[in-house]
Amino acid sequence: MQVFKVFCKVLSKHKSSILIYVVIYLIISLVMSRSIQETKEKEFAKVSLKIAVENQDEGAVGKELIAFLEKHNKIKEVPADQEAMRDAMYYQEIDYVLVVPPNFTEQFCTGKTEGILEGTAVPGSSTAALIENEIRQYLDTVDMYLKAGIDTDRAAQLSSEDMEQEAAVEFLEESDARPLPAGFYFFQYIPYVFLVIMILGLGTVMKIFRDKELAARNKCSAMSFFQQNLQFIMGCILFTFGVFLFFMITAVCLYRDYMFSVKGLLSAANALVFSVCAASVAWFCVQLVRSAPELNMMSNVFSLSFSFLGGVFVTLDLMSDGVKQVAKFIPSYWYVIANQEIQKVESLADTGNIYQSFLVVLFFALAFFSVGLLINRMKLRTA
Amino acid sequence: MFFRLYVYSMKQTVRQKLIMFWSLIFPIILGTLFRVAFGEFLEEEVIFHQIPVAYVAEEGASPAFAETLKSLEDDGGLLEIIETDGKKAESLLKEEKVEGIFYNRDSGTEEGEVTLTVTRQEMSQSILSSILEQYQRVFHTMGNISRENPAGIEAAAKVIGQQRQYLMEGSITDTPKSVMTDYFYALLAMDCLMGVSMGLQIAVKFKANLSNLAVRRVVSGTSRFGMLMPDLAARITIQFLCTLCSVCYLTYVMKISLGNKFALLLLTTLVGSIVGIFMGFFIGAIGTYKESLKEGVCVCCMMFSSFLSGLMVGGMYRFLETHAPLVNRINPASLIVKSLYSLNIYEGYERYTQSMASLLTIAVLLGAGAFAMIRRERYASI
Repeated sequence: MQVFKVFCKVLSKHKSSILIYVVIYLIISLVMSRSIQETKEKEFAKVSLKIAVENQDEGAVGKELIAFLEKHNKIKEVPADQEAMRDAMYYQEIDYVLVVPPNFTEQFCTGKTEGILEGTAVPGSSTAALIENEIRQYLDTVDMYLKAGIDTDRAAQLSSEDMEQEAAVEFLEESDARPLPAGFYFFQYIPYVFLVIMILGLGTVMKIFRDKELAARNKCSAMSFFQQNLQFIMGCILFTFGVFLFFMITAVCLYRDYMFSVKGLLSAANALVFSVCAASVAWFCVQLVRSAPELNMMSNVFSLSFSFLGGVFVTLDLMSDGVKQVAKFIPSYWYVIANQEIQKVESLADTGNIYQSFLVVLFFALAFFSVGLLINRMKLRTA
Repeated sequence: MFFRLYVYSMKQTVRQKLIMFWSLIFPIILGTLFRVAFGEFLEEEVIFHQIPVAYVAEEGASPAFAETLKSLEDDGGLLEIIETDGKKAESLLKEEKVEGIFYNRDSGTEEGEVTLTVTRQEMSQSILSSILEQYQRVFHTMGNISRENPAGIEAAAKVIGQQRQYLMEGSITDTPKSVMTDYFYALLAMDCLMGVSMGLQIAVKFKANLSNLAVRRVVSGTSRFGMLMPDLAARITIQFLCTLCSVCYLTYVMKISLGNKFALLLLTTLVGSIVGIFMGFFIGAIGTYKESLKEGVCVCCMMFSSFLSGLMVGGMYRFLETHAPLVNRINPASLIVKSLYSLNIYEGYERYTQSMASLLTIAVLLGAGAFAMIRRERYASI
């Protein structure tokens, strides 16, 4: 088992840098999953915003409008001057500023509707559109009552009641209704992390074995070529499985319930399949580089491009059809698809599509491995 | 002597293909990837496409909702309605041919009992549910009016469908800004911090245990500071020029609006580049570790810093502002993003100056720390 031993020795020699990568990327994936989960949940819950309101109006409509907003949001004072307001928005103390001008009720009752309120949203925030829509619907309703000849106070009160109407939304299957578990987000970022770690960790060791003189010396040793390769492959399996295990143990510690369910099991299988693919991408990369810094470069190019195009960082829904077609030629796309499908699974019996994605990822692994082998052979011939 | 060393150092750096790749090509690749991934988002405010929806009406159900849907299909082309029966609709939904099913049941009222069935909750589903919600609210309102003052119904009905803009958009900025711009700011921040590899090279050429050149330099009589300055200046110049290329590529080739204060944008990237170079220099100066380990630490620091500024996941800044505001104050990439952001959002320069001052402080601290470590370094044996 000399080759295997050397493999482990090289690995332990580089343990500090490999450990840095593993820890940093574990932290990245944890922070990423937390932040995405939080934004996703906010988007679909009835968000409560922090709205600063300045009511200069003395009439009923202005007062009722604010009372209506107060039901689902937090109302705050408008900061004293423009500068303080910018600061408050900058540090997210307020999400939206609404100014109700004097004589608002009067103007509204006389039929003036365009631009009678002043609203300011934090630049780049998407939640502001929700609140603007609520205000618009509320005022439309009040106006309908007023046009129908109902007095202002009653109109405002009835409008608030009407706004409580909510659409009855049902889910086709019970499992659709549940929000995505935290474990889903953790697994979402695995492709990025695995690609980086495999290319940097496994790549470093592989590169040493590919060193021209070392390879030549190994070739004339008494050990058969088959034996050497077998032990080398065992080393690769050890590393790949080690990294996989490390992440799964973390997942078990953090998302215990999820990991001990069918979904968790399938997610783990998905990650295992992808780790094999990442290892063969690493093998492919090693054929293209000459030095360790080049390997570093490769790891970033491959991991980031696979993640951006494969739908790891940006959800596939946002991509145009053309880009999606291209994405199908990237293994992380199939991983992401499988990860989404897994969330719909209730038992091991109905998992048809998922295995298909697993297979595609494995085919990618085979493809990367074969192309790597081809380059390897071609280089040997020219060397 | 300064100028000669400066020119040599420039030549040396430009000839290092790998470093040039990091600083010049990599940001361009990433920028192109962003453009491809967010392509549609940058071109239009919202991606507009017809939402296919199934409509299942029971016998005797009120036609009012069907009329509303029909008008949405004909007028704005918002919906694509497929009228069908319950079983077919379910299979369409399962195959993801439609985004939702509207069931209209006979409830004996004019409004009808309409429900929406979906399989997930995303943008299209939100739009469908808000259509239904609006329909129900209007019906409720009309019901109230017919009870309180039946004569006014006609006048009230005229309000429906009028597109009104009650809100005058107050604004704290003139520059239009999309959420996606943040990704490109983060990209520029990363671009600046790419200088870490160049900074590391300075240290490698100064630590006698890391390179032969350093051995020769350390024994020479020239002051170390005198040798260091041209090196730093040359690296900063090249890094800045690389960033300039990325800015031009993003603005002119990818047509991404990075704001209209071009000169200050460049100043920010210059300061960012200085921070990047000093960061690499500082990491390289620590201890007697191997170059490969330092290289790894450099890349990790750069990537982690960029990640925290929102390179991979948008909205990171907001997330950290609520959970760990300190990170936003000291992370170089976040500070670069923040200065670019405040440059385009705020009229005054107070925020901008604050972020820039923090960046410069970080640069000075890193530079001073690195120099303190390298200064008077002696080797008993190499």
